Amino acid sequence: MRKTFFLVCFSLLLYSNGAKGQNSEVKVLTAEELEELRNQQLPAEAERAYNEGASAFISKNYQEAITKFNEAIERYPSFTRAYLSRGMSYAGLKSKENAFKDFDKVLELDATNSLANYEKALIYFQDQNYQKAIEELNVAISKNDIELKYHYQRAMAYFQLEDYQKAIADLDRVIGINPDFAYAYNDKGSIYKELGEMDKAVENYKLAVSKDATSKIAYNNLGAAYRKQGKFDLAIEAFTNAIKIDKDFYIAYNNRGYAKLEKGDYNGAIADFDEVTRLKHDYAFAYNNKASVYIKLEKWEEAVKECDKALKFNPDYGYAYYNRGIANEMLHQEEKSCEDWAKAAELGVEIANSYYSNSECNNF
Amino acid sequence: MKNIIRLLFVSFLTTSVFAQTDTPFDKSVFKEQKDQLKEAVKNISEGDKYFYGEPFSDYKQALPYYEKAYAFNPNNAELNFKVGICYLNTNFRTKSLDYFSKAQKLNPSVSADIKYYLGQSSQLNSKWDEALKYYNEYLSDNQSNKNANSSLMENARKRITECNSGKALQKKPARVFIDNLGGNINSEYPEYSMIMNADGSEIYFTTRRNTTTGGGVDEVNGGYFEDIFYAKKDGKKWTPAANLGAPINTDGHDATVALSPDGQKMLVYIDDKGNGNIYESIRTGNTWSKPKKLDDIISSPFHESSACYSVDGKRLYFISNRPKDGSKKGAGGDRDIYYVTWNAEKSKWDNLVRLPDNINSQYDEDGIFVHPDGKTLYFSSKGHNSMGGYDIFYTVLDEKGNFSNPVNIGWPVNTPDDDIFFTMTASGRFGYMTSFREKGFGEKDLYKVTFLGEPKQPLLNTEDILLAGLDVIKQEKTIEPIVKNDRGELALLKGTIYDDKTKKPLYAKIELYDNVTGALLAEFESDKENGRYMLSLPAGKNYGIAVKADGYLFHSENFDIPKGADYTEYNKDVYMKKIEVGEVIVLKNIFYDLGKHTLRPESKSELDRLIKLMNDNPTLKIQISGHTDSRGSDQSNKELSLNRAKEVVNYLVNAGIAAARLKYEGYGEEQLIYSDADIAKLKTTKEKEAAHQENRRTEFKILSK
Repeated sequence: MRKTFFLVCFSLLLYSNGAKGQNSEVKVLTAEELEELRNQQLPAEAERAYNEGASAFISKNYQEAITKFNEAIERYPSFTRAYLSRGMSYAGLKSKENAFKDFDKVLELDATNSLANYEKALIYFQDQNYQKAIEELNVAISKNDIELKYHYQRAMAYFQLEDYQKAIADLDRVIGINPDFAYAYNDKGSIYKELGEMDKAVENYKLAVSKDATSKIAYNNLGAAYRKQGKFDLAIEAFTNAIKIDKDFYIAYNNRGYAKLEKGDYNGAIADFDEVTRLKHDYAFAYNNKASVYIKLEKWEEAVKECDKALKFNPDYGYAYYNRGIANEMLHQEEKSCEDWAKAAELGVEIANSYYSNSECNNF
Repeated sequence: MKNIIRLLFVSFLTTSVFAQTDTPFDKSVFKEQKDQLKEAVKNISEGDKYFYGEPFSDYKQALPYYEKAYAFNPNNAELNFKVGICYLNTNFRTKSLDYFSKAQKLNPSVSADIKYYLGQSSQLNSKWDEALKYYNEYLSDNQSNKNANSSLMENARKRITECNSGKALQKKPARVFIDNLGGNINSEYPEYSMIMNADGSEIYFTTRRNTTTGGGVDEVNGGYFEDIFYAKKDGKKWTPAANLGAPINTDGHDATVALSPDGQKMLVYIDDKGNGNIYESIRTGNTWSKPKKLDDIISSPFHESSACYSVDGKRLYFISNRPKDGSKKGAGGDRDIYYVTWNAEKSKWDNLVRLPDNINSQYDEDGIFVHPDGKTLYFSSKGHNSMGGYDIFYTVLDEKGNFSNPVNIGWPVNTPDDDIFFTMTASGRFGYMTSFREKGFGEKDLYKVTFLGEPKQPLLNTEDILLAGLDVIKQEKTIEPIVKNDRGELALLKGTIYDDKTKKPLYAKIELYDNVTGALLAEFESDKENGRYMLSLPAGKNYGIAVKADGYLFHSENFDIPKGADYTEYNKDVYMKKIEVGEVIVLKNIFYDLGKHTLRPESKSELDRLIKLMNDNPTLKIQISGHTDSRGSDQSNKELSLNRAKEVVNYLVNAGIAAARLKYEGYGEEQLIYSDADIAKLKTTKEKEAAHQENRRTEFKILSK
């Protein structure tokens, strides 16, 4: 009796390269594929080895998966699906060359396969070679234009290349395929935010949270766009929604603190930055931001202390030097402020350079 | 004044109704203290001699006597009033308020003008609302009083304006630190009228110390005669102030007026038996020449108290109380600002101009100072929106020659009292002023004012996860605010000129050109003894600088200082080369169109200098060489540099220089001054770009002479 072919799906979440959310849903074999393979006299041992490989893959035991897929391929050398799965296992082990060989083998065996191009694109994306990723995705899309993840992945690649109009076109295609896909609205919002078109950014972020009310990322981004618009109350509300979804979302606390500072709620800002450092002790930005509040409050000594903390966690933090320079100047410690601005300028803070020059730092 | 004061006490004598609080120096009150009373009455009598002294009241001398009597009986309205008047006429003017307040409390009719004086002393204490109340009451009380003091009535009206100005200015204080210059500079005696060179490395000031030359005392005001002292920057401190000595300091009054930006010329005030004139002294090394009285157009029969050179040295601003109609006789009026222009042909100051009425108010102006940026004039005025006495203002000269309306530099630099003798460093960061303040060294002291500018805004960081499908945290881009440089829009170029071979300091002439117009803007000289020079380059021009010395090849520098540029100091020692075979000179003011070999019109001045050199030395043969930076392909760089060199040669030939005397070569990037490795080590983009700029150059080399 033939064993039943392993028909479960397994997912590879490529957190390692930052891509997430789109289950790289790889069906080991569809029913049609199984039927076809059986018709092609797929040896039972190959089917068994493949199933074991798939189990190992699900357990993220990529090395074991490769061994089993090797066995399956050995017993059935034209086993396209096994090459694809082995390639993905190699990708899981970051063995890019082997992964590419397997994906290319898939394409050699089946020129119509679009998934192999997509998997190759993911590797290129992981390597930040976005142009090559786009090229592979172009091929994948030419073979299968209705696959959402191909368009979405290409949109992200275009985003990375700051080719925002093409990214928007792909995201619009994604929305055409699935109008409820919240990610696409969020990402469109982010593109508009990067382009400085805050009204459109807000519009898309609002659509994103309407499609997925549990998206802390979309709420956080909505808050950031509102803050850019100077709508601090709405910004604070959006950040608060993000925090309600994830009470440990330090990024939203940090953002809310900034919005509170701009609103003039200095005590509220300090409380938020304190919460950030409680959640993430080494987060230098929060100490620097707290120092900024103290500068607004003209509490110069406290500002210096917070900058010192920021610099303890990030000794190359230009803004912390710059802000400490401001506080030191007001403490009548001009030499120290000049040293701070010189260091900040060295670290790329242009405005520090101007202050250094205009303060006659070379001529006390 | 004496009669006024006496009149004030008429009402006092009739105020026995307040005897229970206003305590007279009377036996009936001090029955048990007859001896002490006698002593107190004697002190009042002694004080009165100075208080009502002839020809002038001497309140400073009167005060100790009154204070002794006051210690015995502090509840006498008249004495409180007198002590208040004394304090009002000393450096401790703010103290007068307590005495006037008490005098009025003891006897509201102690003086018909008590409310005026309460207004004045409140104003001096920056108590604007109280001062306004007293002045307004004073005017109201005397509205229909035919015997009212019309002078004080007029003053009260002006002071109401001043108080309103003060109130408004204090609401928006200038962000400054004000620091005493310290014991190396200040003493228990008066120091004032500080002047300095453009970079603030040398200061000169007037002082009335007991070590004054000749040791004399001015009988009119009792102080030692003025002398000029100086000090130099020693790292972060000032060297101990020293007497500048003869020939500038004499047995009489010798006071600082101004220093040229390069520190090579000093203007000195000499009393000249009361009419006051401006003299000029020239420096060679550390020696100052005997001051020479300026032309009559400046030093008139009237009083000239202050003056200042313009940055290019072609204009001299000064203060005079001469009649506005130009007449040379009659009484002087209020002090105004004038300027004269240097007439090079006649070698004298010429063309007297009184600044317009938007600058010269109906009150006194004094203490003129031209900032090294060449366009900002600081001066003190009792008019405009002064908050009391002289306040310091600035006005900006635009390109059409118009002066903007004066701006009060604000509280706390300006106070309700006199604020005068203000100078500022080229950067606009540091100012210096004379002031009498508590915790000083006694009398007037010199203070440093650090201008902090607009509040500096902190920079924050946030992060977001922009793409929902990508778990990447991205730092939000921060747009750094643009620093508005509202002062110090200039560069300061300084250094020493040497002989390239001997390395000895060299006297040279320095010409400053506007490369765009080709105009010669100014001419300077290095110090004849130590070769030092200092130039101020106000922003907004592409400057060509040509250094010339007899028997040497000219040396050129280029400084393009755009409008709004941050203040920058360049230290540039210049090594002059003699006309010898093999010497190479970089022509820094030759410009080409970007990426092309076409000469830009800004190159004309430099090329004309080269033509002159060739004409002055008819046997000279030179090679022009072109060099590029390392960017671009070797071949295109070589081609470009060759074509550029050829273009210069063509220009010279067209100007009549024989082609046989000229060779040209293009070296491309073969002879870089800064290698790519050198440039990679530089920290900022600005530094790197400057290094590339140094590499891109046109040179000439002497082949034979």
